Amino acid sequence: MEIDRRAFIASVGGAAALAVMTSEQKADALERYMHQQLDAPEKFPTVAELEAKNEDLGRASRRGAGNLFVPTREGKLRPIEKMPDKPALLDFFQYRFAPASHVLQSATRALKTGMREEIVLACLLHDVVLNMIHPDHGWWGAQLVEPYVPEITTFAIRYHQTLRFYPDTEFGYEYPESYFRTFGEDYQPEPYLQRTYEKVRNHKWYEHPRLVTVNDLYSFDRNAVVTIDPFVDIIGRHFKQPAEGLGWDDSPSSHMWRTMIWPDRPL
Amino acid sequence: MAIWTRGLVVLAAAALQTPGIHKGLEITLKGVVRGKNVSLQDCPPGDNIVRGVIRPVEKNEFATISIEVKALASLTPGPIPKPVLYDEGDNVYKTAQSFGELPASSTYSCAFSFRVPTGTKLSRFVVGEASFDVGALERAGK
Repeated sequence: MEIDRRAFIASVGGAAALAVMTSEQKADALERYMHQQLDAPEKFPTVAELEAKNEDLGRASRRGAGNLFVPTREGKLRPIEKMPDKPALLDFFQYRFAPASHVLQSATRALKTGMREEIVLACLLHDVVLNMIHPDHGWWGAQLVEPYVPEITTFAIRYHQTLRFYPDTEFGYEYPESYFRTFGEDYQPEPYLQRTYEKVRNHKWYEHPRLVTVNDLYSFDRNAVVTIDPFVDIIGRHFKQPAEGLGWDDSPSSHMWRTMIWPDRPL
Repeated sequence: MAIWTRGLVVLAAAALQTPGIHKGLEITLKGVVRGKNVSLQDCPPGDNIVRGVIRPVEKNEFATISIEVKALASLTPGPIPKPVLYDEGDNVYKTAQSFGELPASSTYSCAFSFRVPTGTKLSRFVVGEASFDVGALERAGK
């Protein structure tokens, strides 16, 4: 649980009141404060409140910038290591996507629950493009890998973004509470998402992106221990690694891989 | 509800807490809770931080079934079917929550949530060969 230091100090009567408290009294006050926070229902922002925050031009970056381009929560940019001359997908996991815990958890769950390998691969790759860009990450993410993976995998990645907004009782997919915080409690998917949803809902491959969304929900465990190892063979079977290396094979998405190889390149 | 009827319901609920067994997985029903915001965890639960919510515009709620599971020595290796929930009209409700690896002799408390229309009268909670009367348990206020 994150503690709002200012709010805690205010709750005990200010800094002066805190200064005269014994260690035991401070501990009791902190425990009481934490209980109050847990008991209080969270107030979620509205769409309008989130949009108002976008007016802040003093921000370090806009919300859509990829992870390679913005500081971490610790306030520093990630170090960029030199990549092999002919980078393979596994190199990107090691040098650019790491720790990649969420996608590894997602793929691990897909594997353990017996999903087909194309879907395991989709789970493994569904959010890696967030290292480059956030808005419409389903479309960007599908475009990134489309030249190299089965069509089912591309389809699943492209449309998982849209299906995240729509609960599905048949598959047990639930609307995530975090979307109240991210998009606003009163958010309604824009018309393009609604159109896409209706198209995908009636598609014979609907199940594939839906399964990606299901695993997505259960893959935010900070203590999960996951590695890329169980997926090396699946990548070998389904990811067409270019001999020239990702970024250098003149595919329709080579430029996207190069952007991640060289995130400091000015133009 | 008459006192004698309430007594019968309580007796029935107590009987329901007899464990059911699916291929070496011993399951004990612990309770039913309705809500709009639930933790999404597989079983055994880890530290997944995602919660599922019912949006304000919906006329649904979650029915969360709490169970205790114990892997007996006779637990058959292989996937354990996902639980399903039935209402009194025999409509089936599904969850994406799954059973993971359960080491032998281990015991876990787990909770499975199902999205149901608000006020749905529940009937059975089923895990493979094990079936539990959640309707009686809920009527008993467990």
